[in-house]
Amino acid sequence: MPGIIEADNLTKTYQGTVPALADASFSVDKGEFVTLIGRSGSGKSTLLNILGCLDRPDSGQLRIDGSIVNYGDPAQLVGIRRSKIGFIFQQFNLLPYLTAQENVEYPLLFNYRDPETRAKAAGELLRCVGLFDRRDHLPSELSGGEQQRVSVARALINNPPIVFADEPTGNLDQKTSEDIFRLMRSISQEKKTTFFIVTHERDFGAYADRSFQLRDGTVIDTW
Amino acid sequence: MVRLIDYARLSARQLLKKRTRIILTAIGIAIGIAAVVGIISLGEGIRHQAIETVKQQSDLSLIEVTGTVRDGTVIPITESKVALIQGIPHAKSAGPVYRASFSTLRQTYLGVTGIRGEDFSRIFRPAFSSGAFPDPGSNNVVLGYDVAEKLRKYEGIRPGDLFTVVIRDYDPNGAPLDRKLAIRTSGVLKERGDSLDNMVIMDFDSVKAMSGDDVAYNSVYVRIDDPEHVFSVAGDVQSLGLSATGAFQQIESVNRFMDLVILFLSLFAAISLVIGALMIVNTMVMSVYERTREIGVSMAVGASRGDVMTLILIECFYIGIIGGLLGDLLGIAFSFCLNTLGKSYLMAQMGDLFSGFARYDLAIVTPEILVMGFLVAVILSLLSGVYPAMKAAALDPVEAIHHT
Repeated sequence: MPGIIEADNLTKTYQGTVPALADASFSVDKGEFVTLIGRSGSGKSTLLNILGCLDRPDSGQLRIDGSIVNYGDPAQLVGIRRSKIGFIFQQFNLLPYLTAQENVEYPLLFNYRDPETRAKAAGELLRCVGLFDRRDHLPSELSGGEQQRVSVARALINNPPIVFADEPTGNLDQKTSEDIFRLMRSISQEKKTTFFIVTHERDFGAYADRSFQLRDGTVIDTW
Repeated sequence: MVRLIDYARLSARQLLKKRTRIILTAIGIAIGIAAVVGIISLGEGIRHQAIETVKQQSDLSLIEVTGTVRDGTVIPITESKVALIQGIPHAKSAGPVYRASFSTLRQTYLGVTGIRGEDFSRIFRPAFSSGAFPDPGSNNVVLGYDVAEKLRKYEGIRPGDLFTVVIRDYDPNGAPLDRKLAIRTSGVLKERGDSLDNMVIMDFDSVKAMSGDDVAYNSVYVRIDDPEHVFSVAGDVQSLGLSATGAFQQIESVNRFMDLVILFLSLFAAISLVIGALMIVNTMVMSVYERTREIGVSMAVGASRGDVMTLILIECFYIGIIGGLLGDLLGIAFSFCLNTLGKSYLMAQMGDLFSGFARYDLAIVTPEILVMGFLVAVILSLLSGVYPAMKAAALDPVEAIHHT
């Protein structure tokens, strides 16, 4: 069975620097919980942006859920981001003027769902991340860990097969970070969602089914 | 539709977050709209005043139809043309006339109109201060009030007097050939304050005999049932290939003149609109810059470039609505000030000359002007939003997300 993410020889070089990615090839199966570990500046974010259809590689091919990504087709990229992918950011990136619930609903707005459907889906996810009671709070009224939980719920709202997380615990303390990893892990198992998590902390590799390392622009499967 | 309503709601949230800035920006556009609305209202007020004056001083429902020359061909007024003119809707009655020119022995020029007695009374509804219409075939004349006064003052000719006039013809060689004619004033008209005061009326057949033209009349007077229809009747006359003249032309020239005045004044007022538009561009460019990260995140979670543009343009749409409403309100207030403070100042300055203004408003705000002001505000705001919206849509999501 083909993987849900299949990368073939992805290469990306920024002007005048060493390649950020050099022939990176790997495959991730549906429902896998994968971490990508690497030092800062090793090209992890570059790889994540390419996998998330936000950036384009210089060469190589990417398949998401069976279809080849055509980086020259903005409509396809938007379509993939809407239905195949969820994003979790290090800075949470919640919209400050929207409540927790509205933040979770936000991606559905671009998927043209009606307000009732949006509210129902967001309510369920907030319950799932344990923040249903705080759904009417603004991000500024939530702790860092709570904001990241909202962000996890937002990433799942379109029911995507894949969630990409870029240093999701980079701004959180050890205890909260572990909570977030456990939350993501349990959601992954429950919903059969693939999680692809970039982190620089090796410890969290323990939660993963598989852990990649990025070294000299190449992805190495560490186990 | 659901999507647009949702976007509108989201944009409204954005605007509420920074309402001071948005209201200041909207006031910028509102001042421009108020200036344009005020100027146009003032222009319309002056136009109204001028047209009312024309209406009072002239006989609007009377037009005179004359022949024309088109492409070198003379289009004369024949009997069949008169029948066509009589058939024009709202043309109540039409009377053909012949014209002649007399001069008294002391060189007072008299333009003579030969018209049938029944046409004269139907079309002009004359009121005689003395005498009556001349008998058919006679050489007697009816004098308008001003002509009668002139003849009495300068020539000593009174109603009933027989006096001599000179008719100038030309011989086959082109040399003038003067002929003398004794005529009598059979009646004098009361003062009317319009063109009839300066007319000399004679019997139709008498003038026709002098002109020696059996085919074409010099002109046709047409009485219209209501002054409202004068422009449509004049248009119908023109479509017969003839020309129509009358007091209505003064209204046409007043309108043409006021259109130009209003246009030029509005252009000056529009300069403030340009400034208002630039304020919107500035506000929105700043807003896009401040929200760079948010726009990047929106793109990452599925917003297309079109969605981003729509969101920014909806914000400009709101600014336009606020600016348009505020501008209309300010414009109404401006006109109100003109009609109260401005008018009393003007009348105090101009004295009796402008006493006519007392009955009229100096500035007239019509619903059309307000709708126009509102639409201009909205359209201008949307146009001002195009550049910031394009800038937002062109952001690179990767860079935008990491923007601090």
